[in-house]
Amino acid sequence: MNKTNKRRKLNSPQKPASRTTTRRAPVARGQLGMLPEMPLDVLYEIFSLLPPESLIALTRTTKALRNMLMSRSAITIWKNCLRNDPDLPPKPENLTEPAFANLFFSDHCSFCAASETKNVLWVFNVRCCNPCMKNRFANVRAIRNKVNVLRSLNGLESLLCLSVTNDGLQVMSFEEAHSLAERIKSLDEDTTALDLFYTETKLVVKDRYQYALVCSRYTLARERRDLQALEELRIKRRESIYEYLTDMGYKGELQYLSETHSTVLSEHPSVYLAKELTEKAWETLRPVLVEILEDVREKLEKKYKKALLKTRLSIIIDLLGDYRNSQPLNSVLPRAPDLAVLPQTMTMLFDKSRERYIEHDHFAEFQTSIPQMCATWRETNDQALAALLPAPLPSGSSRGSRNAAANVQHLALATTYFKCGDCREPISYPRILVHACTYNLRHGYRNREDDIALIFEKLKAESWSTTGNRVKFYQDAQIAASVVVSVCEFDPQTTTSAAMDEAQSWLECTGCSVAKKSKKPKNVYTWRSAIVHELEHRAAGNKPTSWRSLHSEEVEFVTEELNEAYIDGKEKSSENVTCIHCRQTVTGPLLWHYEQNHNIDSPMKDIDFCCGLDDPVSGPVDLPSSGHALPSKAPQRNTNARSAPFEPDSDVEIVAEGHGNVIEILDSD
Amino acid sequence: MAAPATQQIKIRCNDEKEFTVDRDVLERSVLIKNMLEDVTEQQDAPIPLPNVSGPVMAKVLEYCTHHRGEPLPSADTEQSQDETRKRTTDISEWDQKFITVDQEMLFEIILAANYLDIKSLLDVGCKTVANMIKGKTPEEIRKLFNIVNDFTPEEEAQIKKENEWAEDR
Repeated sequence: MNKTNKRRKLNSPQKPASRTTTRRAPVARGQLGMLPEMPLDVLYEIFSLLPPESLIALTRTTKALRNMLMSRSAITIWKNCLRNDPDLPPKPENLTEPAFANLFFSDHCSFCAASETKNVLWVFNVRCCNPCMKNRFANVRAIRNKVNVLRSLNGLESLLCLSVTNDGLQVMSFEEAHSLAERIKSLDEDTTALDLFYTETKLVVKDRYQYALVCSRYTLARERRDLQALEELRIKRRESIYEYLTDMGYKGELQYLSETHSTVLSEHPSVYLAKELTEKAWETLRPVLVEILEDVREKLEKKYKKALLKTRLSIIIDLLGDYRNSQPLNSVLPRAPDLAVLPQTMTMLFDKSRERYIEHDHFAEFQTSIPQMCATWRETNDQALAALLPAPLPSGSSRGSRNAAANVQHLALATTYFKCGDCREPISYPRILVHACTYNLRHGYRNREDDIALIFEKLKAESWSTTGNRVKFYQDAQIAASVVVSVCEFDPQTTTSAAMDEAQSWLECTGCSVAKKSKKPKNVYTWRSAIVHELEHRAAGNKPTSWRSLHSEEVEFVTEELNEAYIDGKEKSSENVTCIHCRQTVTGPLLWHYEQNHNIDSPMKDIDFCCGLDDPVSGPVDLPSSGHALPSKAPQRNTNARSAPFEPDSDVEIVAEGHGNVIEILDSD
Repeated sequence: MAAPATQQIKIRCNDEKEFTVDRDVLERSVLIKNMLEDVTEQQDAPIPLPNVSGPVMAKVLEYCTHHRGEPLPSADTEQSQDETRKRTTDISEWDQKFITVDQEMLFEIILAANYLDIKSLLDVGCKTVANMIKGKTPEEIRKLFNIVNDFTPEEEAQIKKENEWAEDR
């Protein structure tokens, strides 16, 4: 079935052709062919049951029927027909029953038989078209002008009837005006008779106004009644259709439609008809409506599926949050999409029952297996990251089978960096596993309707993966890191990030410091920010960096400076630090939080607060260039004391060439 | 005391088809009711109904059986209804199903109801036909009755203006 067509049906129902007309059923020729052969009494019986307009129609079919119905002997039929409309005003004496019926129910001009004449002048008992109106009726002034006798007659309005046309004109009848003039002329000599005539005429005019009022009220009421009758027919038809559809099991779909797209069905051209629903009509209509309702059913099922998914995902998020809170701060843990796409979780998420997996208790088994799922996730993704690293062993090595395992261990090295597809900063390990960009929902999910797409769309995030160039090994960063690690007097091939963090080395880019004016403070870097700076230098094609390790007092000074930068909110990630004591994310002023909640007036980084694992690397810290009471000579470092804790598998041989020979590159620089 | 057994009446249609029917069912027909009232002695000979065929009588009896026991309209109420009240063309659901027959049977039922003087059945038949005529244009009615328009265009225009009795023109 064509999807586009289905949508069109739901969203933009075809308007019924008209709200006031009924669709005419095709007439089967000769369906009542035997009727003219019926005895007269039976015909009278049948015709007496018709509404007046149908009787009028009958008089216009053939000469035989007209002769029969327009004969005075058919007066009973006409009376019965007129009685079938109980609200009809009483027939005035000057009209025959057929003329009276014609006035109300036939739209022909009483004078020229022009059809579609809507203008009825009730006070004159005529229907009048516009051309006839000009010849037969006029306003008071024109009447006075054209009928001399009436030119200066006082109180003409009370002697001649006035009628308002559909155009709002007040008109009198020329015929009546002439007749009045004739009468006045004939009684001119006899004042008493004339007075009596005036009195009688005024009463007649008054009665005619009264009667005209009743007639116009009747026509309005009849219009309303007809509309109501049509509406009742429509309602009855709609109810019959809804009943059929309910019996077919579409109750929920009908309910949904009435609440959301109320006109789709109720104003469907086949439903919105003022016509009784026959079984035959229903059979024709059924497939059309079933198609619409099947479409709705499909939509509803999707809706319920999405609603259930939303509920279940929120439970999973809660449970994962609980687990996260039970783990040390900054633990590398999967996010909701990572666990949601696991086959066993998806079975629960898309369970069709609306009673299962809708409360936290229903996920007890899932909750128990969270630690295992997290461990598996970590292991799988470590391997995926390791696969991105350059091979540690030369090709053809007999130890090739262990490359993967060796690479996993290499992830922890201080020189292992990844490049995220969306940002420029080199991303270290394990930060890459929680890096926000790797979860970003990519384009293309909007038009997908598969289960995984539904999960991602609901969570507005994807599961972590290295696919689609989201994560790449960052060789330039590795080279830069090797330089920095070497400057810090560690072995870039064996030193881990953890060992570097522990060493708390700070470096000054002496090249940049020289370029600055002597009195300006120098920029100094942590080992991580030094790598970023080294990369920037290389990318800009600047002179090779020359680094100087800060001595302990300088380190103490800049560490304090960095701490202050966090407290003062000057550090870029300072607005989103986590309190180590209460695990709250502190978004406001740091001091306020610690004074109010923990009675601490000088919070310390990594003791009282810490940054998030995915926070950007902190920027350089200013170190005063001169005149500051800092020792000018850096203390001697004991490199042995700072040996890397990373001890690779003794079987694994770490070869620098695979990563690019740092020393060679440095030399070439 | 056991209830008196319902009297069975035999009738014979114009195709010699005979029916034996409970008297109260047959008495829905005013014609037969009057005939039975006129005959004081028990008669074994079937009542001849020369204007009704067997199949039509079967239908009529189906109707009479369904409506047995319902009060018959008296001549007075009919009269007052005719003169004062609107006569609706609504038909009950059962009657509607009953009367859903082909044209020939419909008119045969009407004729039989007219002959047998079963007012309510005649009404059902006539209302059914009237409902088929309602709301139709002259042309549609001609098609329905399978009759030909014998008015000239001039006559057609003229008759729209002529609303007087034929005798008065």
